[in-house]
Amino acid sequence: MGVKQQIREAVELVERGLDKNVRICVTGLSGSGKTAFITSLVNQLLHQKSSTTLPFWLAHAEKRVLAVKLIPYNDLHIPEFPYAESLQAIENRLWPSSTRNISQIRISVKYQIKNKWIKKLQKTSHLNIDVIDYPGEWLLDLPLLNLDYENWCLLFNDWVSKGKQANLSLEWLNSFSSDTGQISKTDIKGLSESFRQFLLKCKTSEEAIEFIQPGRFILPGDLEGAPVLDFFPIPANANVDKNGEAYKILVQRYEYYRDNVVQPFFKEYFSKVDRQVLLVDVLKVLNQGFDSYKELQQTLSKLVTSFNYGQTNWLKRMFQPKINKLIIAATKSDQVPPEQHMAMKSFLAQMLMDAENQVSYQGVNVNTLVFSAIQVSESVTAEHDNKRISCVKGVELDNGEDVVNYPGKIPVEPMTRKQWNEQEFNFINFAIPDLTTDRQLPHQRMDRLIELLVGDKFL
Amino acid sequence: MNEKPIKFASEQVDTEVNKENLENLDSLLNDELKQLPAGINSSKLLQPKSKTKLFKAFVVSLTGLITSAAIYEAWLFIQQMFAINPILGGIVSALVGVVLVTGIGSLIKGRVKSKRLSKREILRAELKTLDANETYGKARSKLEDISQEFQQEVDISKSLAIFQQSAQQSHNDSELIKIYSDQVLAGLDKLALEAINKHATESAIMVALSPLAAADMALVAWRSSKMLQEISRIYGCPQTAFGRLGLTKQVATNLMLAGASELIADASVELLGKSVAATVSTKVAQGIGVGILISRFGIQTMRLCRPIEFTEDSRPKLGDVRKLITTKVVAMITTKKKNQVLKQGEKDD
Ligand SMILES: Nc1nc2c(ncn2[C@@H]2O[C@H](COP(=O)(O)OP(=O)(O)OP(=O)(O)O)[C@@H](O)[C@H]2O)c(=O)[nH]1
Ligand SMILES: [Mg+2]
Repeated sequence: MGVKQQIREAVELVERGLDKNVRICVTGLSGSGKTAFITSLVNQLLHQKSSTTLPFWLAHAEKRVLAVKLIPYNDLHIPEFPYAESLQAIENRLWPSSTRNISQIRISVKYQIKNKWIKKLQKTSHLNIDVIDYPGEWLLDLPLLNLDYENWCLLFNDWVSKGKQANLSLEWLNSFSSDTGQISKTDIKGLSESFRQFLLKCKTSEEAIEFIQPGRFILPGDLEGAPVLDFFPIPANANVDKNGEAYKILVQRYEYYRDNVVQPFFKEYFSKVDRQVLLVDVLKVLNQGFDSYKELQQTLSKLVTSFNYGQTNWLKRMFQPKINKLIIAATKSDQVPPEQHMAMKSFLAQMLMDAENQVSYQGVNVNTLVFSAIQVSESVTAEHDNKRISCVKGVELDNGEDVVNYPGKIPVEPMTRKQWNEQEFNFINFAIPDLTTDRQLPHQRMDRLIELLVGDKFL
Repeated sequence: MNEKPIKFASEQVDTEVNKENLENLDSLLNDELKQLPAGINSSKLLQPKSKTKLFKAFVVSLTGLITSAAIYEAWLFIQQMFAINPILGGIVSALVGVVLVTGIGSLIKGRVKSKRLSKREILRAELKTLDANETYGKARSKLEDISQEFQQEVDISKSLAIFQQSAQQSHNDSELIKIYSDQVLAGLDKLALEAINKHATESAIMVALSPLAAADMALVAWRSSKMLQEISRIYGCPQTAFGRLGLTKQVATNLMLAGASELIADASVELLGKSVAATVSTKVAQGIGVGILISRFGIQTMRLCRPIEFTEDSRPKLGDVRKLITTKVVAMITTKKKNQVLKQGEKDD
């Protein structure tokens, strides 16, 4: 065997050894900015060649990124992420619409190798980045995996008796008490529909109700009209014969939903994930106050800790996740004057401190960050009462008016309930301004996010 | 707390694109964020405050004495010239006048630039705190000032343009400092390292070839002073001859204060040097040693001139320089020897 042959084999070995695929899991409730983030990520990568706004992406700063393109992915049954459509929407000054189904995209980055040992064998390599987008509502089904029908009903009844959802649920609950309490097989369809109406009411209500289960009742995806969605939890006020036929059907459908809808989704998507980014819209809870803050805090902590990293070992057994990096990122930072970004970051860190602790204890590397996928406002100072205040200027999404907004001051220290009530915030959603999509989209700290997510993969 | 949100219609208010921050920034930092633990690694031996009052008085009176003697001599000289011929006297006194004006002028100008070096230390400390505390809006103007100082000596227009493109409104001080260091200072570092390489190899070769041991000392002093001048110019704080003396002293003190870690690094350098030394003559080994010393000198000078501290990544590594010097000197000497051997062979023929 010649030396050349040996070298070729060594190269192949290294090639195989190099981690050339990385799967990123973008986690975030509905409206947290997942689709905007993925659109911007793809956009920044594709335009890297002429981009001067990525100084913190190290491989790029070192001029080692040679080329980037979108390539077909292996999971052929998943629809493609509508990147072109998202861009087109932006060009028409619209945000990409809320996601209704799962989709995937694969970005391949060709780069020059820096590591001096590997460099001896080969000069370049490539990294394939897989990202999946999905409706945030589906994420909240994760806890179902661990529940049987009876326990789910218990938890549900506990949830529905409290908070803002209690009022909204009255109508649905009444549809039971009118009965003698018994449900027949034929009632199931109607009751399921009114259950779904109740959930939709929660979803669209002014007060942000985050925790809405089951997720597919709001966004069925391709399950629209399928009988698997015809079930509901039995409320506390209804007494249903547990040996009756109706009850059996409910249990059967719930289990079918859990085992054949929820589980495959998480299993397929989350089992091969290496890196996770959790997107959090902290500005929304600041706008809405203490109760929303607490609810989001609990929901996210539950989510983060149940996913990963072996805390609840049923999940670990099922998926054997190998997530080794979690980035907790506050989105939409362009709604905040930049001098408050620091405060925004510490607010985020305090909110998710518990979750962060638990995850890092598992040996997962955790980082927090404040960023904006698409910067649609400008930071300005305005004169008011003889004082200069830092504001953001943009086009208000709700009414299309040009505004200069001082959103209030994000505190650096955690707030007491009293302080929450006293402090007012008004973070405004901005519309997309007139942008060209032939250049990279304006952003804030996408480069840092890229570096944190995959920077270490560019050997 | 309780600063009410306000929303203006865009036409109603005068706005200015935000460059600098105007609100109280320090309140943004809570104690936890001020980098803990502060204690263990941050204590450092202060620079010794030398120069007693007595010594200062001595220096002042000595300069006074020398200047008055010089003035007196010049005065006598002009008088003599006048005695010989009034025209000659006129020319000479005009010359003296020109010398005085240009001399004092350039002295003052040099002094102004020279002074920058002492300001660098304060600046470095300021930027370091801004970096650590992630404040917003304070660094930009400082970096602009530094750029101006650089621009008087070096052409950094291209890297500055890249910096200005990469630096966004949304970047905080820490981010700006990092980008500036990567985009602008990295270029200067490269220039400085090239200068160090040049001077170090040159003196290494000179020492290796010089037949006189006594000349070596003078050689080293001369080359290192030249190098100092070049490096300080690259970083926009060129030193006058006088200032260079001060800088040399500072560099030397710093080298001595550098501590165990560098000594260890040095020991390994010497060890490696020895393995080379085994194959070459003592004179050549001495040359290499001098080259390494000069490059250490140069790197220390960079540290003193650079407005932003080196990070672990951007820190220049002595090892690279050493390798370069060794290979160059050895190559140089061996080719010389070969030539000699060849010549010898020709003679034999
Ligand atoms: N100002 C600003 N607003 C943003 C940014 N990213 C997202 N938004 C706003 O947040 C909204 C929701 O963003 P999406 O990306 O659709 O959120 P999502 O997580 O994909 O939501 P679902 O698809 O419903 O799960 C957008 O329509 C924008 O109004 C940003 O970077 N800056
Ligand atoms: Mg979406």
